[in-house]
Amino acid sequence: MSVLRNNRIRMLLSALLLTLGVAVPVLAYPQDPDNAALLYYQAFLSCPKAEEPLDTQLRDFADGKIALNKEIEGYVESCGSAIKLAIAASELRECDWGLRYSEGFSMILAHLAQIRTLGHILIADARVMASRGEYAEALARCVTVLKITRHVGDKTLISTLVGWAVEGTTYRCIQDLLGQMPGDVKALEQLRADLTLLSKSRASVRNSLEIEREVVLEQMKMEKVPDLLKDLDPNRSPEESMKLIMEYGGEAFLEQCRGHYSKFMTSVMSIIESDASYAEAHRRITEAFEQPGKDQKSKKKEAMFTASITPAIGKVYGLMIKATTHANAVRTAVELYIAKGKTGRLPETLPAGMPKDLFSGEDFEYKKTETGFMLKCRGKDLDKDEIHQYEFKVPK
Amino acid sequence: MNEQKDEKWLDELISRSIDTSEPKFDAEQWKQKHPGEFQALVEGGARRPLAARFGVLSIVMRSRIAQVAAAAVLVIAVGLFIARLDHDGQQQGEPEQWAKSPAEMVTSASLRTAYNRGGMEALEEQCDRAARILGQGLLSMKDVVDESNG
Repeated sequence: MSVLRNNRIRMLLSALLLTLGVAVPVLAYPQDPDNAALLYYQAFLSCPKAEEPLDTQLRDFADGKIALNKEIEGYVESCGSAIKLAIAASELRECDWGLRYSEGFSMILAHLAQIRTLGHILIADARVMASRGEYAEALARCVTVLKITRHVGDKTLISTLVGWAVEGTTYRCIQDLLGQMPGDVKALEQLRADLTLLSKSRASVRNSLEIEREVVLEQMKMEKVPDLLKDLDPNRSPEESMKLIMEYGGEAFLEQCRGHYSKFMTSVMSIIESDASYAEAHRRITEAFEQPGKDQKSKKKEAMFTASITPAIGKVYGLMIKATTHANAVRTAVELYIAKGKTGRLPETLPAGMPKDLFSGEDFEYKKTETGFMLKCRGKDLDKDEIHQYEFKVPK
Repeated sequence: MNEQKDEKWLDELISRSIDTSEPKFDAEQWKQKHPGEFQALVEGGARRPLAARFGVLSIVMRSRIAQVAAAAVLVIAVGLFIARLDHDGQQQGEPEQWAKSPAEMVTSASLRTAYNRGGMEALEEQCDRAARILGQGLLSMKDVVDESNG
């Protein structure tokens, strides 16, 4: 026992016991997942199935098309566990859905269907809370959905599009909530902080196009091209397709196809990344998308894959501008609501330094209306041939 | 492989992704508007004897008005044929026609086809339809007990 009289050894033993004391409870059970997707998948499984007509009602209620009823309220309440899982997932940084990119266009994206449903449930929950006057909580729920859309990700073109769709529904819900809630400046400032943070992590079209390019280039190889052709033309057998590819020149032909496709995608990505105005970028992208069709008409066989695969991405640039502009309009509106909450009335003009209307690159046109105010784009959406405007109501 | 076959294959492949169709003659509308003429067109040839048909042909060759009318009938007949082909083609293009399982509704290819066909609205609709089929929902304790009891 004389050993224990030694101060150094006593300190060492104390540190060892302390470490064990702290560490043992942590090691008693495995840690919660740090991959948000695992929690989302659990949330999907935890959602009770909504039969018709409840399923449609839920979606319509989330979209603000119908009023709340007892069935919807009861269903949203029964989704409590799924909502809790979704909130926990939305707070995590990492989200790996475990997609099999090697499958190319046959890759299953079932989570995209489910994430839309989960989004509708969360937005419905926000509207239910708003109906009880819990506006700060309702806005927080909307922010959760926006965080989830960041997790939906930009790893595939389709997931980027689905993310924008869910985001659009969420911003429309926020618009409705802002139009109902009394001037709660604290809640509005929290919303402003959340939206500013989220604006820095928007889905990158460049990223989804880059991954799309890599996936497609991999599919345009001899061993995988039958699968790609089957996806593009399900009525043709892989053997038949292979025979045709061989007649065109086999691998040498596919190499030409890869070159054509890669060049096309690089040019589109460089336009999207450039500092060009929306109108200029739209013009250049339209020209770029006409090229594969022209090449095909002038008997350039190597254009065949480019011409058949790329139409899906033709409108993506416009959709990106539309989604970001909608987000910017809501952020601008939040500033106006905060100003009203502080001063009791809406400002006469837009404050300086507001997020822009990306169709024109300028501030939104701000106009007070009888029921609130309107933020109108100054540039036209050239794909839709219309000028978007966003209406905001102000509670009396 | 001849040039014509090459082009046909490329056209088929591309037309699945892009709507390259020309404005088509609306045969159904024409049929409803002109039931008498349609009936005559369908049945006319079959009812007449061979000799009578040769008689008509000789009249057509002689009369300018009859030539124009005959050309119009020919255009309509071709229109009917193309409309029929187009209808078949559209049915094949529907994703639900070739999606053999619910999971196939949510492949990258299937979702892209929906987007190509009808933009964001069609993509969202396809996701929602898939979610209705794929969503299993929670088993209640009662379900578990019922299943255990057979």
